Amino acid sequence: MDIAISGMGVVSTAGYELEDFWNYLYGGNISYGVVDEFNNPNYRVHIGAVIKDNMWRENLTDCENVFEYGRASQYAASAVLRAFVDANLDRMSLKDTRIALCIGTTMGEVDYEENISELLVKDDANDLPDIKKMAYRYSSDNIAEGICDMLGIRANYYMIPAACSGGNYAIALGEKLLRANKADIVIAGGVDVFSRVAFTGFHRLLTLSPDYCRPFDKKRRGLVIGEGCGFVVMEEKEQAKKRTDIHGCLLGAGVKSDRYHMVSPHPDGDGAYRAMKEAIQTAQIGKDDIDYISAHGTGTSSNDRIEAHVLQQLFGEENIPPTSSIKSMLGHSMGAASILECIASLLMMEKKIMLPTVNLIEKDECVTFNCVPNTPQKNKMSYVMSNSFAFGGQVGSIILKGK
Amino acid sequence: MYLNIDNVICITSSECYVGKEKSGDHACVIDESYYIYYQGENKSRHFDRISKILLTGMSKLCDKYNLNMEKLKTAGIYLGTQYSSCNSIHTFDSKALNDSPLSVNPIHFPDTVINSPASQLSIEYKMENENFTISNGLNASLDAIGIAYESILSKATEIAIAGGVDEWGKIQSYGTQCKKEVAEAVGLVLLEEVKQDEARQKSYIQIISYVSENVKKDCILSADIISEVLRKQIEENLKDYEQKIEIFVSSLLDETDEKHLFEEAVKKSGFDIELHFNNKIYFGATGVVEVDKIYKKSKLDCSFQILLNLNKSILSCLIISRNPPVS
Repeated sequence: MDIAISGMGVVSTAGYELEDFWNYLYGGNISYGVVDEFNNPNYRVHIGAVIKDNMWRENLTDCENVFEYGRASQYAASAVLRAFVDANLDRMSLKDTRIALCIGTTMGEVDYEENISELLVKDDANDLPDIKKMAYRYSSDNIAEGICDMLGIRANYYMIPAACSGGNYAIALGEKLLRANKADIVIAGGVDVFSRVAFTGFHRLLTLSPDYCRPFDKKRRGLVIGEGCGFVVMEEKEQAKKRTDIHGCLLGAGVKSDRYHMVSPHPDGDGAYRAMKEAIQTAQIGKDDIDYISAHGTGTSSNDRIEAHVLQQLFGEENIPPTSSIKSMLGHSMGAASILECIASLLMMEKKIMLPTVNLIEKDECVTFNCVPNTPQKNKMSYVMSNSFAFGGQVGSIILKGK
Repeated sequence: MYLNIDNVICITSSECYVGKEKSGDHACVIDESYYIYYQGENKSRHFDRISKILLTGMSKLCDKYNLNMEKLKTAGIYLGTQYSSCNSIHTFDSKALNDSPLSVNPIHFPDTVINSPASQLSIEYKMENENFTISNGLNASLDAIGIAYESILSKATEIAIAGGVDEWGKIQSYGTQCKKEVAEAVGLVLLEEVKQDEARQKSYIQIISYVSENVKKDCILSADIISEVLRKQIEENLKDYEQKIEIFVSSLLDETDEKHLFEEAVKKSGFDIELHFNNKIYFGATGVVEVDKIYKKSKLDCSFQILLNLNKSILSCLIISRNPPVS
């Protein structure tokens, strides 16, 4: 079965329409800045990527029960609806279609937990009904249930928390479901909201950059926390082509465990190497066929060094395809990162242009490949690899083919 | 479906522990003595409570069945959980709010990702294959077993560790609307492909099928759709057999509503099937606890067991059998 990506939808700090998302990134724009909540002496770093307006919610105006669900659920519903429209799917006429939602995340509806914690500190008995309501909607299955409820669709679902690899893991599970004939259409993606817990945690780990995210730069100082959501529509290629123009195809996926450390990647990048190798094998292509790699590229000292090392091991020092990281522009949208990178990769293949790694002043010595510094570059873009390496050692790699 | 038609996918080992001590507010919790001594290979590593409970469960599974530790390294992990590391997230966040963000211990931050317990499992046991946390509410561990089964069928992995874990806490106590008794639990099973003869000799539990469907119609749970799911699963998988079938139902519904819904569904399906209703909920670990109960029974009255978990609009259905008759 050839699996096509027939639709895509984003809710991101770079915009909510695919064309806006592309133009923002193509322009090398940075979508992060000072976050007021953290602009105080308790934090050394104040930079994050936050969706500041609510215009993304406009496409949910006709939907039911939107405000019964948390922000992550609303982001997800908005992005899924955008993906439906892009795939030329009428959600009202999908009654006999077996739909499955596969959703990656890092912390789910964490803003509910954060609100509950704040109210518990206040210790006002009048807040109890709100606390109970938020606690009921806290567990992650509410995100998927919320999508079904808000959009009025009958879909099966799997919430797949896999931290920063959430999107790739969701795509890998979606592929399993399609090939096992458990679904006709899979909507796969990832979502995370900007989280005080995540910001505080990374801050205490000393892994946040105080200014810019500079993947592969000699003087990189860490990551920038962000938020966002993305979904793709996956289905059998011929079925999709009868209805719409496809964006490309998923050829293969490799999902593995580093099994080394909760925070640090394996020093040899073992899990990443095995995931990439498996993705190439299942895609049934050669390493030399890959035209571009969308890196995990967080801008931390260890991730970028190990990622460069793994690429050298896999491709050989002289043969690493051009590799860039759009986290330099979006920040790290956590559970949404890998799906936004997948979507960006498909857009890159359509336009035959590689998006840049911005903020690059001087490449680190360990980076022997073209990391597309600062400006986009044209390239043949038939096959793309997109990688993600998560907390807890869950690593994912997917291979995409242009249309 | 199988590489070799003489092979079947079975649960060959099962370990489960449920909370028995009633906590102040409603739930039965797992006593400290179960997990307090778990230290792991590297004694300096930090584990939060839910990870300790899970790792203790895994340790007991390995010891009890003398599992091949080298082979285990290649196993896929499929862990179901409704709340996962919720308590760790809440503790971390509360500390930051009550004291200051500068006072939180960075060592506790990795506990705050939902995939943390499953990740700890892969690190401790050096398990290098795919590692899925499935956070599907009450259905989580049944879905985890189902996905593990599909993964072995598709050759993504040869063996799988599947199951679930959930703990009680403040957020859970505010958020649980279920009137049934609730308890913490951990349960893990080993799934692998074995020869039919061996499965029979050793009375392994064979997985016959797994499916998961949205059973709401016009925003209401539909007995019609549930009956269709049942009818299709029985006709596709059990039609050659005239053996007794039993259904085990777990849901968050009120007992009366639950009974009414499923009795109506079974009646509409046209089959004569005995229904059992689970009056105790173990959050995301509910399914694996039910599987373990069946696994531990030395003798079963019927040949096929259909486990149904209903979480909000999703019905997950796992059909298993200890000694399916030869067709």
